[in-house]
Amino acid sequence: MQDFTLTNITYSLLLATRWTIVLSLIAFAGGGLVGFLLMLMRISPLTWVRVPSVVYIEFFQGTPLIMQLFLVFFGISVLFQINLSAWEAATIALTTYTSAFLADIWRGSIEAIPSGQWEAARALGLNYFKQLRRIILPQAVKMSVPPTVGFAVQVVKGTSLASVIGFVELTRSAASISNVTFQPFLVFSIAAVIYFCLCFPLSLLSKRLESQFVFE
Amino acid sequence: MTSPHLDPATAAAQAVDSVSDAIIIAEGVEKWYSNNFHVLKGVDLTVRRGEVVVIMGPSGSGKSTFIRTFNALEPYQKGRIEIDGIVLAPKMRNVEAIRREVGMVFQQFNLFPHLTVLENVMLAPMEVRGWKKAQAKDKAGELLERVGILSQAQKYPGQLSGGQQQRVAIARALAMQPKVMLFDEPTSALDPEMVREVLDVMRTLAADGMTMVCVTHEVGFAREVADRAVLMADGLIVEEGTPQQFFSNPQRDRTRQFLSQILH
Ligand SMILES: Nc1ncnc2c1ncn2[C@@H]1O[C@H](COP(=O)(O)OP(=O)(O)OP(=O)(O)O)[C@@H](O)[C@H]1O
Ligand SMILES: [Mg+2]
Repeated sequence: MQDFTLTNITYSLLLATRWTIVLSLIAFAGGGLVGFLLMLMRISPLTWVRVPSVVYIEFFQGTPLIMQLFLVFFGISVLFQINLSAWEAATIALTTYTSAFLADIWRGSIEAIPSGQWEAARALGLNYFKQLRRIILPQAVKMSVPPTVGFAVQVVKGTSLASVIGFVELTRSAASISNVTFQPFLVFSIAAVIYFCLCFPLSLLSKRLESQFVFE
Repeated sequence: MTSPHLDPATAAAQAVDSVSDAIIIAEGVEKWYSNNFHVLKGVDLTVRRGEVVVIMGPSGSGKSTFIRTFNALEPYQKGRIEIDGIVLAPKMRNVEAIRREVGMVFQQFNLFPHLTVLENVMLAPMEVRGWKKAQAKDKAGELLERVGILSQAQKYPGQLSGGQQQRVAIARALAMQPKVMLFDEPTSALDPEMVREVLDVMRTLAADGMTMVCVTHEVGFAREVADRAVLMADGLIVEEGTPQQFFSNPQRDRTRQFLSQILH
């Protein structure tokens, strides 16, 4: 039987951490893309464009992530007769979850831009797309950076739930290792420290950016 | 339409050249806000090319709403507005075409804080008129010089005083080479010592023959520059006349009452 030293427990956990990071990055990139489109729909003056995005955002914000993971993992296989791997299910669920929150964060930043900015841009003859692209988005992006980075912390922690559908990332790996080492406290403590090392710099960065972007 | 320098003789000649034809025709304009508030109750106003019209009136009378219908920032429900021969229909497909020809200056300046002064002025000609960068830059430089801000071109709006910001806002609107300029209380948000520098720019503009509709309570400016003064109250035009008539011999009680309030 293998001898579990502190070093090789930590080593195994760090290997699994790669998947936590990869899943976080995919969720953030995919969620950012989908979230951006959702945000555009959400701020549209056209009701029929806006309503679907409101429903989407409210649904994914209003249900637990773990429930969304189950729904994707089991629901899609039932509905479409295809089996999703834990990987695929986790990616989809975390992307939708992330997109709903990012869409809302970004909508908030856009709505914080004074209406006079839209008006001035309209009065100059810029069309809607150019008003957004040249005037509103550049200002909103600046404002939304701190809360966006702050939300990245939620995504990293959220990936731990993917363990329940069998995706092997840091939490799942910690559970398996503690099953064989019979040292759950030690193993989960190390895992917690790893999560902290991933998240703390992000929240620190978010706080620093926040104090930097105080306008006027 | 705009000569580079204000040579009074040229300006006067231009004014005479272009007195006759109307550029803004508003007939029976009515508007309700979404809460059913009847803000405009059938307003008529015709503005001729090169004319300077000053609109006064108590707060809430609908002055801003009215002039904002001229560039379709506010839709209206009844009546008819024609700008330079184009009718502003309630659901216009190409409002941008109108807005290109109608410049607007706001009480709160509304400069773009993420762009430099120069970029503020260059933006619309490039984005809307499709000008090349060099061309837009030349034009912006020329306009900034005209409003006396050229030396601040690389600064951001937040670094300028209110008066300077408003002059940049005027240059930004002029960069589109509009046929009409709308001013909505351009000096009301300014400290008293900065009012003059903005009014001076507006005076120059008027002397150059620009068609201007100004909501303002600057009586000195109105007397000196306006061709016509108009009083709005409760969503209607109550009185209009030459500044001489309007200020010295108003016909309506409502006008007298209003003037006594602003003239103290
Ligand atoms: N979006 C809106 N919805 C409902 N009512 C509005 C809206 N905007 C303005 N109003 C109302 O319409 C009336 C006219 O407003 P407007 O801004 O045109 O007046 P104004 O003559 O420019 O006044 P001021 O001198 O205060 O600028 C006011 O009573 C105002 O409260
Ligand atoms: Mg007003």
